[in-house]
Amino acid sequence: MAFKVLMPRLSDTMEEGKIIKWEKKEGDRVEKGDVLAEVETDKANLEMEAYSSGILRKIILKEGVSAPVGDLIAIIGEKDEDISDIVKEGKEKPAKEEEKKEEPKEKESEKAEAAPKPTEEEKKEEEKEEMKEKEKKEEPKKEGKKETKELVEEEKGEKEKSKKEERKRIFISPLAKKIAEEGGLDISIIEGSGPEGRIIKKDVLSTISKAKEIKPEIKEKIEEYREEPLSTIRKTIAKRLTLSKGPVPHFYVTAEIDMERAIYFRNSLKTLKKEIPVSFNDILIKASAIALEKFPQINASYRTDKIIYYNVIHIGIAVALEDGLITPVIRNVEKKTLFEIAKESKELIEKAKEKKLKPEEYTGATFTISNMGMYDVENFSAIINPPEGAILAVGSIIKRPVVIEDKIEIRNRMKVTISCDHRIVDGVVAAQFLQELKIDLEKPIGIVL
Amino acid sequence: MAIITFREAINQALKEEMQRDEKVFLMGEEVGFYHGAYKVSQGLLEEFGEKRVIDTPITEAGFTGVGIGAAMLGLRPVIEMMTFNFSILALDQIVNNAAKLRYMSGGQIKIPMVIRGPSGAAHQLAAQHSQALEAWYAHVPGLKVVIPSTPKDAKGLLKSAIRDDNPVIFMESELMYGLKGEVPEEEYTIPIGKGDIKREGKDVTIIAYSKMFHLAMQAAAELEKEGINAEIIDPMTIKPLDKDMIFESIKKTNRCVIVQEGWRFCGVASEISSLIYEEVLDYLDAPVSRVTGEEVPMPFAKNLEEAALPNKEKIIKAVKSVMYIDQ
Repeated sequence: MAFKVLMPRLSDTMEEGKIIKWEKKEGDRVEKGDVLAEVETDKANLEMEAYSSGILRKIILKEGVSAPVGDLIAIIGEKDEDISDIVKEGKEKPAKEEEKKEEPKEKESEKAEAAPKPTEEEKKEEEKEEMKEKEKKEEPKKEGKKETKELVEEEKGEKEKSKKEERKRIFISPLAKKIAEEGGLDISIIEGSGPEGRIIKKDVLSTISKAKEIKPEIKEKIEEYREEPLSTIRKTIAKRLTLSKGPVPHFYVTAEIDMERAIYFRNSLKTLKKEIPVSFNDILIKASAIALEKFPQINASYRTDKIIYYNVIHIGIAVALEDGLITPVIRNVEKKTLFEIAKESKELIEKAKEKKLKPEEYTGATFTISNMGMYDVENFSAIINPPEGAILAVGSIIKRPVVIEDKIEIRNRMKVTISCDHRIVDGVVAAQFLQELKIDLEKPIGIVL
Repeated sequence: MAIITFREAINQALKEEMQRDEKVFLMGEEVGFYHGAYKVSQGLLEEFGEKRVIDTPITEAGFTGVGIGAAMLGLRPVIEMMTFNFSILALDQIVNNAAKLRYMSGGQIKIPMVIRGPSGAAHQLAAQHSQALEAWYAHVPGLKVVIPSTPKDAKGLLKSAIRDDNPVIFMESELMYGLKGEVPEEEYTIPIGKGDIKREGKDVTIIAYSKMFHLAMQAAAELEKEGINAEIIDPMTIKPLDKDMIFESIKKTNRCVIVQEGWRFCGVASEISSLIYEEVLDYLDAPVSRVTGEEVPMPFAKNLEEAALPNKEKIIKAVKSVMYIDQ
């Protein structure tokens, strides 16, 4: 029995995938669970496992080539089995055509072959399958097979049309959705075990407990935030400003910070613990966390009729990739020492560059820092990554003439610009936040205390 | 507490209410000299005489209408239907007069009346004599519908029904008349409109009444062996329904199975599920599942009759489906 290997959906937003490398050659024996290939998705390079055992008979999608989720990319079968029909189908492509020709039996195998989180197409396929069966059952005497078939095809056509819209739809039980929302969990990372991939309570709870295993602190994230209903004035501000610059009405506040002591501080840390070099970015992360603790309005998130204030500080660091950027997240910065932050950020940035980040490592930030210091940038404004409430854009440390006690001195200065969501934060708070940040960086002793 | 049958519990309620209030009287086919087709009115003719225990001709529309007239003038009739299948003949009287007169007279006329008798299937009584009609009556504004499952509930609720100033449809079951249960010896009533959590549980809420309640209890015992802990709500009154009790239970268990003997389409289970979707959707982890009679006139053949009715296995299957347990 031949099994089709389809391009799996490996991340919530994945539309297509590229084969980086086939880990098996044609003719190799494959066991269920073996790594078949490394696949590049929109976010990371991930391993693709085999969902059935047999001989890897045919590789259809070559290395370096992309295919949409659900496309036939290889065939696993018995040694001498005739797979020419399937190969032909794969070549002729139009996935839709091929589905129509299939016998129900083969569809079974396709199901078995489906990615862990079935794509909408596959779900649809199952639905149709059920429909067919149902019709057979309900009308056993009716010999009008053709008619039934036509009906199914028609139905298919319509479904095909709306397929694109439905692809993004996540099936989740109301209760599961509620638990996930209360826990601040992104439902697109949860795998559904219910019928048609429906996410149920059990799945949400197990995702939460899994996350706890990885990062014990996440538990605090689950419950440790408070909600405050929007006041009328805030509602008006939110409405008006979104009209002008939407959907997130940004505003920007810039401050210049003297980095002399921070530079000295960093150099002393370097000699203190050579094995963990602390970067300016790490110092910024810690200083930001201290400032965020003092100004929780900024560590917040706008929702339709309320503001969510996080009692934990998860800071995302924007990391540039060749073809985009990603923000790995350091969790519970408020509880971590500078060395812990330095160690973690180094690991995460490396992983990010290798595109090896797991979804839980790049989601859930409550604040982001985008540092372009290494690119000789004086100053810039960053765009907020929703649903966060703010982002800090950091420029390079540049020597400048500054008046200090009525004398002109040459000092190392750095400009930072905070972009805030005006629906939840006003200018003064942003300014105060920067003042606090300035104090923490200009007198960095506070960072280690 | 005394252990008595469902039949005796109904008999006690009738007797005590007739002793308590001379306006209460019983009327129906063979309720007097024959003591009722199911021997519910045993001894009543002897104690209260022919003026208060009245044998009628076989004419449901007629004696129901006479009952309504008596109620309009201040008496408190209890009309016995030999079975609720025959009440269909009196539907015009019940729906157009009993249910509406209080409303249409602007409250000047009250109809303190009980229409009672067995409803639902017994054994092999075939299509015309096996119908569970509670949904029909629950559909009509102005009627209360009570359908108890134990002798204790039957007695307490029938007393409340007789004392109620509105027409109450009180449904018993032929197969439950011999059912024994504990009944308090002292005077008590059970309020109409209150449900009863007859079994506490945490995993799933099963809503079931009358005979179906007993099936649900059997299913729950079986499920317990597999580690599934079912909560069983006996609503006892279909209308007005104790919605809050149901909602609270679902908030706890997150899943619900509703069992009814009657046909599926537009049944009581449909109404309850709809209420659940409207009020506590966010607490559901699975769609509500209904276990109901099949959409056929009741077959006469024993095997087909069994297939057409809910049973323990069907309830267990539904519970597992809402718990996402493969079977």
